[in-house]
Amino acid sequence: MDVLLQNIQLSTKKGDYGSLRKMIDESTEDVFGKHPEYVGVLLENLELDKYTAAWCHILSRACGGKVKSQTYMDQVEVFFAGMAADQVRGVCADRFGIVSKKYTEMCRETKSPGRGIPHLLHGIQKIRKTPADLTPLHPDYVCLCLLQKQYNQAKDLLERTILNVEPKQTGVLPVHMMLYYYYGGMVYIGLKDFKRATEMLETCLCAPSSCLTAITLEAFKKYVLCSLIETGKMPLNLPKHCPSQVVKVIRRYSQVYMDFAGLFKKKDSTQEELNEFLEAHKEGFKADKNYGLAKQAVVSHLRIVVGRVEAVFSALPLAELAKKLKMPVAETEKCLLTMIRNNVTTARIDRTTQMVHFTAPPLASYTREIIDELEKLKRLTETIKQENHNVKCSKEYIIKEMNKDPAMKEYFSSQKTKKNIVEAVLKWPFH
Amino acid sequence: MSDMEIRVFKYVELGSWDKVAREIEEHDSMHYDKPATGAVYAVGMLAYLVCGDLNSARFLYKRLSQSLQRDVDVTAVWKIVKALWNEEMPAAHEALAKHPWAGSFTTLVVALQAEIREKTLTLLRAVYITIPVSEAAQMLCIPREEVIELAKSVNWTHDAATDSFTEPLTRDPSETAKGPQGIEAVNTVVRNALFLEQLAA
Repeated sequence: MDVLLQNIQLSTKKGDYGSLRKMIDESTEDVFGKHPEYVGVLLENLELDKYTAAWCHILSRACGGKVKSQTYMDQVEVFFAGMAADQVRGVCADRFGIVSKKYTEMCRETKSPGRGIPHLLHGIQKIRKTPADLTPLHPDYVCLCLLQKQYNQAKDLLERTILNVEPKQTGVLPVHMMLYYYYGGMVYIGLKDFKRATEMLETCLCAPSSCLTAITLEAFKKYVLCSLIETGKMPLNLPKHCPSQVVKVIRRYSQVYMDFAGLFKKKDSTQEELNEFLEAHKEGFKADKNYGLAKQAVVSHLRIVVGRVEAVFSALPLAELAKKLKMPVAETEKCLLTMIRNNVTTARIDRTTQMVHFTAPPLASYTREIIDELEKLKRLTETIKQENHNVKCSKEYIIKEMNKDPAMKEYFSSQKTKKNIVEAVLKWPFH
Repeated sequence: MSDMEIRVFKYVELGSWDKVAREIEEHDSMHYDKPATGAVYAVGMLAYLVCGDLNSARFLYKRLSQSLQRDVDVTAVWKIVKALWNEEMPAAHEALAKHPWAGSFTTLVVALQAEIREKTLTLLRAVYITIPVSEAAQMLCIPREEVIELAKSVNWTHDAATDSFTEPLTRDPSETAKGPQGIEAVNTVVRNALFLEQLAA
């Protein structure tokens, strides 16, 4: 063990992280397999801020051994609090993801998800360079927030748009992206923000993958139900950037959900039909844990019926509307009240004449939405301009363009300083 | 009482409901293994309700252990949450009036009753062109005389013949407008128009 310790210290001082990784991997069976208590001894003798990479490798190998949960969790918490992120980014980022995953699993096994939340947040804040970076800790954090029912804390993280995914720097994999957006969708479902939930689940579906995965399939099922609740219809096609391997097969594996969405498309489908369908496939929906969502979708079908009536009539007796909804008058009125409260419709009720008047929403009601969308567009434009600038100034891009254009090669060779090169790049008329 | 509890009850006295909720959330996040008392969580749930955040009140209740959920004050607040979730305002008012609230709860309960009435009144004004006085009184859970006074304050006309309220003929546009007003609106339009022109160029 002393020899191992000395070699670790030497490798770290030399900056030879390749040898450090190999050395720790090779000693796994000898040291950690037979004597899991040596892990603690080893870590005690390595200062965290100087030997962060070593800590990361040791913790990632130790989780495969017989280490005790409480001890391991304490060690990981110390690691997240005091790590030097520069020694993890680009050096052992893949191992960092393994440590985080094992820590999250232990939080779940010991039924203490609340314990992991502040520590994972700390880890995220340390490893990422900007709030727009995705890290392997993001899905673990959102998962624990879901288990602990701290939806507001998860929402604080989810509100930040992810713009950078750098696997070499942070060790993030496609599965992290899928899980992050899937769990994010579940958080917004819990918060009853079905619009945001649909957006998150759609992003999950569009994560890079070469085949259909269990995560994508579950996300698609929830996506169908959330779309039905939010808009009353299922989008005809998935976005163009959705992997073709997913698009080809996903509907085949979720036929019940496609049939359910098909009922919403029919003009004459009734609440009774939908309820019968739900009852017939109750076990399937319950097994997928989507029964509650499906019931909400059935209730939201009423908005389609009211929408169709609104498109045709400017005023209608309340009794007629109740007949169309196949509900008692009192319940129809209560249903309208809920829809008006939720800004689904702008109908108004005259109790003296027992009439329902359908009016167009005032133009001013769209103003705030339009202004918010324009603000988002402005921020996105700024981000794209910045990314465009970064790509143009990147070494790989300049080399690639120089290889295509000899005149460019000659021009840049004459630039002496880095500052001149950057200025020259910005002036060069790229096609 | 712990420091957190002292701060929570101080914020209740000051009427800073969002700070009450935030304080409890931060405590739960940092000290998940040392839960606060039932009274504090009941105050937290009420604070969420006053801020109009029904979801957070539900989740706070669901996070609690079974023993804390059985606390007298927590159970009473949960009844209010369920009534509001099912949009049964009379049941919510009844639950508020029935329980013997004490100490810091009184401030919160009064604020919540006012908040529920305010929201119900806003909804009634958005939905109804005319509404019987008795139904308005039932939904607002106030006596008939008080409803008539309240209706006058929002320019609703009381028709004694049909015993119903009628909304005013012209509504104040600022009530329905959601965007910026006046010079702020002009500034916003100019900024956005410039931005779109730059994009198009």
